[in-house]
Amino acid sequence: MGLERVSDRLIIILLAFACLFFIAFISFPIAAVFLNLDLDMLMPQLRNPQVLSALTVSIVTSSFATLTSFIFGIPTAYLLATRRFHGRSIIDTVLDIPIVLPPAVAGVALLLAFAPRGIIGPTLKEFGIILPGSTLAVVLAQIFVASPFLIRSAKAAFENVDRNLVNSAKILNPSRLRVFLTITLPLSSHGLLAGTIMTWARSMGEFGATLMFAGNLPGVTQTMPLAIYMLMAEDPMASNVLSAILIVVSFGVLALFKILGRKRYGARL
Amino acid sequence: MIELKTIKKRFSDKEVLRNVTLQVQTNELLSIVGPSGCGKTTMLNIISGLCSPDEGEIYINKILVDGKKGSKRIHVSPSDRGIGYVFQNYSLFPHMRVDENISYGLKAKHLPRHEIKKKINSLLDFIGLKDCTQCYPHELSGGQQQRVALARALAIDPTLLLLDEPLSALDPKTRESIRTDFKNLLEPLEVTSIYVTHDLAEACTISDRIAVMGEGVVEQIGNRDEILEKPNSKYVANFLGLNVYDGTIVQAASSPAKVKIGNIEILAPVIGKGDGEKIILTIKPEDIILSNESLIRNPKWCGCVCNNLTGKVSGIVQMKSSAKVSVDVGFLIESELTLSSFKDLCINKGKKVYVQFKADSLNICQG
Ligand SMILES: Nc1ncnc2c1ncn2[C@@H]1O[C@H](COP(=O)(O)OP(=O)(O)O)[C@@H](O)[C@H]1O
Ligand SMILES: [Mg+2]
Repeated sequence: MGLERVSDRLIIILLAFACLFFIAFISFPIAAVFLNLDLDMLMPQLRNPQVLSALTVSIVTSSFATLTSFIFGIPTAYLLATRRFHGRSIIDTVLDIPIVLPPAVAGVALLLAFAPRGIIGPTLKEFGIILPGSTLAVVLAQIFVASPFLIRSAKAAFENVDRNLVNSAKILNPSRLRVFLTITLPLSSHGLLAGTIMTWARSMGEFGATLMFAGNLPGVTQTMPLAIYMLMAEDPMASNVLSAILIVVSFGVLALFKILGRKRYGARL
Repeated sequence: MIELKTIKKRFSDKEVLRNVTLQVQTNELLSIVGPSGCGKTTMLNIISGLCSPDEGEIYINKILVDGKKGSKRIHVSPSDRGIGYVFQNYSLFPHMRVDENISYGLKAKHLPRHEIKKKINSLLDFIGLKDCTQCYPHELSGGQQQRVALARALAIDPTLLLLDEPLSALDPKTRESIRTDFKNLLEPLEVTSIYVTHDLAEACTISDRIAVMGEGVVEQIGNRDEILEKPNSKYVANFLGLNVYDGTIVQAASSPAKVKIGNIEILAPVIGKGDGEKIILTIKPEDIILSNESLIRNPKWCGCVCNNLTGKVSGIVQMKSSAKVSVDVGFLIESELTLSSFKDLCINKGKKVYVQFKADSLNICQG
C-alpha cells in the first residue's frame, strides 16, 4: 500500500516534469522574440515598407487561399462525409497528402506542374498566365498546403451531425438545400469555422512551397515568413518585429479557435 | 389506412427485413414489439421514405408510395407522405427553441405566420408545455423533450404517425409512470399511428392491437389477449417468456388428448389433429402451480383436468415481487410464484416438488 502510494507520486512527478519541460521549451523561445523586441524600434519598423508590404501580401494571399479552399472544400467535405461511393477512401487519402508532404516537395511539385517548363505551364503561357513570380502562385501554394485542414475539419463536422436530425428535417422539409441550410450548416458551423481558421493560419505560415514555387519578390510574392527569413541577415530588428506580429496573430487565432471549440447547445453536440 | 406488402430490405450482407406484410386501419394505433435489432427502425424508415425497400409495396391511404407501377419504380419523397415521425432519441433540433422546433414543418410549408402561431399554441396546450416555448431542448427533461418531439410530428397534421421507442430514452422509473400519460395523449388523436417498442409491457399499455416482430418478419398480429393467450409460434411464445415445448400427439381421440413431451405424457386440449402429429405447446409460468404435497385440492380447479408431475428444482431466480423456479420433470418447466408462496414452499435447489397445471392452460400454437 505504502509502496504503491510512493510509486503513484513518482509517476505524477514524472508526468509533471515532462509537461513542464514542454511548456518551458515552447514558451521560452516565444518569450525570447518579445524580450529582444526594442519597443523604441517598434513604431518605425511598423512603417518599414518591406514589413508593411510583406504583411499586406500575407493577409491578402492567405485570405484568398482560405476563401478558395472554403468554396471548393466545403462541398468536397460534404460529399465525403455524407455519401458512400467507390474510391471514397482513396480520394480521402489523396486530399490528406499535403498534410504529410514536406512543403519544399510541394513547391517542386507545383513547379513541375504549372511552371512555364512544367507539364501544363506552356498551355497556361498561351493564355498569358505565368505563375512563378506572381501573387497568384503564392495563393496556389497556400491552397495546396492548407486546404486539407479545412476539408478534414469540415468533413468531421458534417459527419458529427446526427443523421436522425437531418432525417427529421427531411420528413418535414421538401427542400434539400433548406435542410442543409437550417440543420446541417448550423450544427456543423463551429467545425467549419475552426477549419477555416486553421487553414488561414496555415496559409499565413506557409514558407517552403511559396519560396520554391512563387519566389521571393518583395511586394509581390514575399509573405511574412519569407520576409522574416530574408530580413534576418540585413535587418534583424525588422525580422524580429515581423515575428512578434505573427506570434500575436497566431495567439489570436488560437484563442478564437478555443472559444469556438467550446461546446454549444448543452451536451447534445 | 396503411399497407405494407412483402417488404424486403437488405444492408450489404444482412437481410434486415425478410418479408414484412402489415396493415394498419385508419385512425388505428398499432404497436409493434420486437427485440432490439429485429428491424423495427428500418421498417419505420422505409415507411417514411427515408430508406427504400428492395422489394415490396407500400400504400398510404390506397396511394402507392413505394413499389413498382408497371415498369416504373415509385418512391414518394419523405416530405410528401404526410408523415409525423418521432425518432428514437427525439432528435429535436438542438439549435432551435421549442416553438421553432414545433413550427419547423409548418414554416417549410410556407403557412401564414398567424396560422403557425395558432397551431404552435394549440400544440403546446396539448402537450402541456406552455411555459417552455423559449427553452432550448437541452433545458428540458427527457419527458418534456419527448412531448415536444410529438408536437413537432403532429404539427403538420400527418396522415400517419410513426413513433420509434419514444419512451426508451427515459430512465426506467419515469418510463413506467409516463407510459400511461403517453397513452392518454395518443388515444384521442385521430391519426393512424404505429408505435414501436422493444418492451412488451409498454406495447400492452399503449394499444389494443399488437404486432410481434421477429428477425425481419411480423410473427403475429392481433389483439393483446390473442397475443398473450394464443401465441402462434415458438418465437412469439419465447418472446413472451412462456414455457415452450415440442410435443407429439399420442392419443388424439381422448378428451383432452394425450401428448408426449420427451418421454413424459401430459393431457392437452388438442383439436383437429391426428395421432403422431407434432405440435408446439406453450404455457405461462404463472399457470404452473408448485406444491410440497401431491394432488392439492384447489377448489377453483374443481372439475378441471389437471396435469400432475413431480420433479426436482433446478434453478431459482428471485425478483422484486415474484420468483421464477425451474423444475426438471423430465423436461424443464418454469413456474412463476408470488414471493409469499415462494417463501411458504421453502424451495431450494434439488428439492423434490409437485408440479400441477390445468390442461386448459396449455396453448397449442396454430402457426
Ligand atoms: N444503414 C444501415 N446499414 C447497415 N446495417 C443497418 C443499417 N441500419 C440498420 N442496420 C442493421 O439492421 C438491423 C436492424 O436494425 P434496426 O432496424 O435499427 O433494429 P431495431 O430498431 O429493431 O433495433 C441491425 O442489425 C442493424 O445493424
Ligand atoms: Mg430501433
